[in-house]
Amino acid sequence: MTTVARTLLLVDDDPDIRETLAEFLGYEGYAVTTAGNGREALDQLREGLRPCAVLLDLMMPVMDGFQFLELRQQDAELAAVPVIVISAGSQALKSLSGVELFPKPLDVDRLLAALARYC
Amino acid sequence: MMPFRRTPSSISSGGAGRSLNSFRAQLTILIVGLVLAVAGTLGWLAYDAARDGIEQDALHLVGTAADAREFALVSLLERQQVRAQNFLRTIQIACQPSGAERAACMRKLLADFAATDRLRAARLRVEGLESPVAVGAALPPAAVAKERQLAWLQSGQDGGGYWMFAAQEDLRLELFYGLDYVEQIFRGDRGLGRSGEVFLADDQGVFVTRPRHSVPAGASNGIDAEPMRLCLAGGNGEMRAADYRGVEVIHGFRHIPAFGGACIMAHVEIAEAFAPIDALQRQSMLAAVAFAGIAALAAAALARRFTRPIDKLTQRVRALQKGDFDTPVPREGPAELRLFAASFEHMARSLRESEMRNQAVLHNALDAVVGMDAEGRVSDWNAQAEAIFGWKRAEALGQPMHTLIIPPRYRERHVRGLERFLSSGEQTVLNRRIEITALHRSGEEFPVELTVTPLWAGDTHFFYAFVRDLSEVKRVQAERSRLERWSMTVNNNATSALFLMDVRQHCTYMNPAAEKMTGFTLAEVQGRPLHEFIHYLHPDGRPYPIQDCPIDRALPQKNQERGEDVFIHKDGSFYNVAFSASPIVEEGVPVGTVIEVRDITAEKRQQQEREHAQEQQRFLVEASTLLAETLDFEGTLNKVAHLAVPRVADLCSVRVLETDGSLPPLAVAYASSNKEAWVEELLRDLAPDPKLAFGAAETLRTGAPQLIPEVSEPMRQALIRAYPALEPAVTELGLVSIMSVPMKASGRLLGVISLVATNASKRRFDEADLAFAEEFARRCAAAVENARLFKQVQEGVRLRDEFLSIASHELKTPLTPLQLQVQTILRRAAQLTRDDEARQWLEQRLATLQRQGERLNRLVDELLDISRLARGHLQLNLEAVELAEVVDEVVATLQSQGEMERRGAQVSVSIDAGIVGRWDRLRLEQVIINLLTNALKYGEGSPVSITGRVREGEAILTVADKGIGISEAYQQRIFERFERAASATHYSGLGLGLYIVHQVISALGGTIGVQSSPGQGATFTVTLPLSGPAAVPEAERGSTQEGAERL
Repeated sequence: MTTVARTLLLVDDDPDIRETLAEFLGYEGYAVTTAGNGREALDQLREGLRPCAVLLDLMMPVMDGFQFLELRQQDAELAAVPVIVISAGSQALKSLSGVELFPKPLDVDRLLAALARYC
Repeated sequence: MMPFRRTPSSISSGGAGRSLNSFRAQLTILIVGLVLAVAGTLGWLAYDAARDGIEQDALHLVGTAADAREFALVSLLERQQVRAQNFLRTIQIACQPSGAERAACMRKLLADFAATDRLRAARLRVEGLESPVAVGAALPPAAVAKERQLAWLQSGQDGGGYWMFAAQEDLRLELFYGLDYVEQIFRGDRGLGRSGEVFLADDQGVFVTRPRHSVPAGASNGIDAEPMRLCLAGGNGEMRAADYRGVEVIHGFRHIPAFGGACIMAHVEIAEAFAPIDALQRQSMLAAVAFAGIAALAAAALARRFTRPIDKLTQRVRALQKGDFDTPVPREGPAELRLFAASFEHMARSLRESEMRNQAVLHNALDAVVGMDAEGRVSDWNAQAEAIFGWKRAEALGQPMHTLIIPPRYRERHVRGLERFLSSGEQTVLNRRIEITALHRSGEEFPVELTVTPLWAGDTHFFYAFVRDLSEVKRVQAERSRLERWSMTVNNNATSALFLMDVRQHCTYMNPAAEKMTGFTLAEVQGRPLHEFIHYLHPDGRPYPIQDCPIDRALPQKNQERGEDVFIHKDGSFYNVAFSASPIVEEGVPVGTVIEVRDITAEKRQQQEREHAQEQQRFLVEASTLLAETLDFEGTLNKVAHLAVPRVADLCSVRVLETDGSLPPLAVAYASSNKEAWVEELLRDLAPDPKLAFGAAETLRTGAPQLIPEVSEPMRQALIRAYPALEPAVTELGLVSIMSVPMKASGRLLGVISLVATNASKRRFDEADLAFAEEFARRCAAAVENARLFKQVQEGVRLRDEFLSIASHELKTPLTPLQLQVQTILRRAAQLTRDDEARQWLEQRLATLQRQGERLNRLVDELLDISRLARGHLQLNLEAVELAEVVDEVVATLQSQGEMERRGAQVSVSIDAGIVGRWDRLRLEQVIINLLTNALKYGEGSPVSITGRVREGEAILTVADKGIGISEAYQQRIFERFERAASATHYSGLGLGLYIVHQVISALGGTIGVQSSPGQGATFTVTLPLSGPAAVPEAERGSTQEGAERL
């Protein structure tokens, strides 16, 4: 599967975070698509969106991050898209494997460094 | 009887040989002595007579010699006197002319006279003429004429002489002779043998004639001799005495008054005088010795002939004395001795038998035997006498008996009694058995039994006393009667019942305690089978055959039987007893049984009560243990209810009051497990009926415990009326006794426990059981309450953690856009304004904003960590982490945030490269951030140094500052929650940093410590094993997993 360089899918139910982070990453040269929950994100991906990485919040209504990761794992094509988890409950992140974890509030320098590896 | 051993008297106790010799010698000496005595006496008499004769002869001889000289001397002097008278007459006649012629005539005649008579000197005086006519050379001084004296001696230089005086008419003639005439008389043959001598001594005892022997110079002269003294005193006589030389002589002496008191001494030496008799004596002695020798030989021969057989008999006697009866008696010597020996041997044999009998009797006699002679002295004293009186035989023999063994107050009576018997034959004590008091050597008196037997030995009485010490007998009697009294007292006062049975098992005795216990009197049962009165039934009514009775078995089996059984009282009631039946066996034959019985009904009951109480106590302990085991009180109460059945009740139900006021049974246990479900089913839906005035309903209403010792029929009816469904149960189980007790905690009723006794045990509860049940309920209530409280607490904790978790999430969520905005503005600041000053101003404000955002974030993290740590839910994400990297990162971050700059502190880092451990990166970061910010915060601008080393598989990290330091009292507490050493007013923070650090390091298997003193700064030292924490147990991992999922 091919991804589009420097495009990101940001999944977070908090609109402020969505907008602020999208704006911040926009300034850093990323094209950011957003989704309010796991379901929306999944839909966008299934519709053909291919970001170079997904920034995923965990605690979300409709479909949370855990469910999203589970479903993504079932689809071989989607599973190839790298996911970076961003969450306020930093401890919970450690139970996840195969994804990079960034606690909220975000250490933007590290985040940018991580994104640079994927995109 | 014969005295068995006489005291040795005249016969020496020495050896037989010596006595034998002694006897023979005595006999020999006796014979020889007799012969010698006779011969000697005769010889002596003859000798003495001869000697007397010789002495008489000698005396006569010297007397004759002395007389002869006296006669001659006096004759000489008288002749010279006559001649002088004749001369004077011649003068008268021849010389008549007067004048000168006469003088010349006288002178011529005088000279003639002097010459013829060999005068030494002569003097003639004429009265009226002045000068005497004298012839002779030197005239001695005129001597004084003495009365009736013919002449008198005058000693002189020339050897002396003697004067003589004669007178006629007017003429006086004095004549002086030398001693020549005198000496002629004393010279020549003296008729006195070889040693004989006669001499003359003057009235002073001085020798006049020369003695035959010279007188040794210095020796006494003649006057010292006794005869001389007698003579000078005027005596005449003969005698034995020493002469002037000291030689023994026989003297004859004559005093001669006519010759001026001179003495004639004649003597002959005794040696010479007795020479013949002495020769005779020597010969006699020789003859006597020879005679004696012959006599001795003859005597010895004679003695031999008679003494040998006698000696042998003597030996035999000695042997007999020593108790040797085996030496044969020789039959030798003269016929009389042989006859004597034969008789003696016969006697000895009899004596031997008698002696043996006596010895045996006396020495083995159980009685003391004391022999006494007529004088009251001890003559015999056997071994038993030694034993009972304390005196040895040797000490006792010969002693007055009464001083030894009769107490002083009886002695006089004894002595008088003995005297009376000896004088008149009257007696009161002889040959009778009497009891008296005797005296021991120690002075102690003791009772004895005594028989005195008098014996008449032909010339004297002696007595034998047979004495038996009664002390022991008396003591035993006293002891026996004391024991009898005691045993009566014991029997009568014993609390145990005592029975005696004969061989037929018939009662022969019961003590008062036995009468009291059985209800029967001794008279009622005496002589009758005891079993049929007190032991004929079992408590269940079955007959108790005597064959089965262990008590009645004791005698035939000759065994002591012990055990417990049940007896029947006269009133028909049963009582528990403990018995001990012992056979009485006399000389192997069983004669009866003694039975000791104790009523143990009360003991049994007490024991049961004790066991019951102990059982209840054990039950409470077990129940408490169960209740304390878990907080699942529902399950536990069920277990406890089953524990109570059937130990304390047959049915146990535990009901817990629900919030809606209902009281459902939480646990039901019944003694019969197959009916338990049925009973539980019946009870489940029963609501307590307030109309029922007893049981659980009443307890629910009043909160007070209920005891129904015995369920009455009306109660049973009421119960069925209230709960018709219970009827089958009530009927089938048969309610006997009920207790219902409240479970209360903090004064609040939590539930009711019912304990029911049914027909299964027929138990009747009492107050003690109720107290136990209340205690049981209290413990159950405490368990229920504890579980409730714990549930509440758990719930609270869960809610808090949930809240914290949500709260931190919610708190962090707005932080994220805030921070992102700050970052965005910061990054855009340069684009937003070209004014450097404005940009700087903006950047500074934004940096503060970001730092405060970070801080807020950390505080929220800490709160979350605390919540996790409290539940042990700290999760570690272990991976290979390099220490230097983490430290550098942390320092860089703080640097970038301007922490050091703000605090004005230098941070020096010295971490060895390549320290890689299996740690949690984020947690390690957290630790280092905490320690570093702590050092910066409390370092007050002092330089902070961080070092890292490896030692023995552990990374050692130190963070040191030079700030205010930490007092020792706080050094441990700073690692506790909400603790800090500095005052809260000066230093902000929750005080959780070091606590979290400590917990994280502990979770990583490491340690943390601090070295500090106030004002000297602090050095925190962290050790972390490179291999990471030890394996975490499965359960714990599960719980952390669970904790993680909750977020």
